[in-house]
Amino acid sequence: MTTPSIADTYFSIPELMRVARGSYKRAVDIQLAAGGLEDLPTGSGYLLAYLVSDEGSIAEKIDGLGIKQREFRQLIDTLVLRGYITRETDPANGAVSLALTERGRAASEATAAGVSFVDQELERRLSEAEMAGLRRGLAALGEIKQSLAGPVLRRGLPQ
Amino acid sequence: MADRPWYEDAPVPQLMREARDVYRHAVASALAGVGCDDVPRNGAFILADLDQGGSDPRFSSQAEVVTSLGLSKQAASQLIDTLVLREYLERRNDPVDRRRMEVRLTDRGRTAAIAIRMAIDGVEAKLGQLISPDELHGLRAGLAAYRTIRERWDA
Repeated sequence: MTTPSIADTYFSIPELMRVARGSYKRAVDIQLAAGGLEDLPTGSGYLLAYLVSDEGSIAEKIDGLGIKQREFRQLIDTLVLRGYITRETDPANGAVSLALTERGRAASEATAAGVSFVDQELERRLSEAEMAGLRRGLAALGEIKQSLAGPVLRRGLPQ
Repeated sequence: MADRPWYEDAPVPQLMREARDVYRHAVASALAGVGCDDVPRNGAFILADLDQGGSDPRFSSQAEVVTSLGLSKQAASQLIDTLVLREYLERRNDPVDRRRMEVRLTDRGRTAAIAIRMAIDGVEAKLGQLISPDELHGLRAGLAAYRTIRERWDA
């Protein structure tokens, strides 16, 4: 295990966060490309994960994703058109249900593999104490962000 | 036994996602407070980088200022253009090598840079109240590790 020397020196936390935040996306993009799934829209991974866990109503999914209803509908339209999910409307009550296709399941697995790769690399490079500090620090930054915007809301994204 | 803190079981990407805009929100609010709400995305990094704290800022190489942002040449050039047009930066030819450009903060740029610095200091003061020095080291080490992981792909 090695601690990167830049950790406590030159870079400010906003600079470190700016560079860090694309790490998962890059890893996921590599996995998606390997599976011929490059047309998965950015930000769909969380929605696919919700559909794998099959928990919560559509309203809860929109809330969990932190996007507007109009953006959610556009995302769903794109995912349906590209064959990642199906959308059914119950004729009796108009309720909409969403489900993963085989392609959607493959994209969800590729997304999980990309995330897992980065997490494993992270655990290989950090001590347990540093990993705990990273989690605590990010959680604290999330709390500060929510205190700037209003009441603290913790989204229960699927595990 | 006390419950485990919620963040110990949360996926790290979720924690990253929830934390990632904290500085942007704080900086945007501070900039709006001083009438500088038209700073473009990533512009705050440039203004903060050029901020030397003095009232007569020196010129810096435009190429060096944008290098750390990792933007394409075109995107970096557009960003500088916007900051010049909106009167945050002054630009001139390097008097030694006239093919190169130099930039420095204007008065408006200095006002914005001070607001940015105060916003970042405010977040970090709150962070210092919420986490221990060891946890802060872990946060920095973790974020630096992401950077190292990304560099493998960017190489």
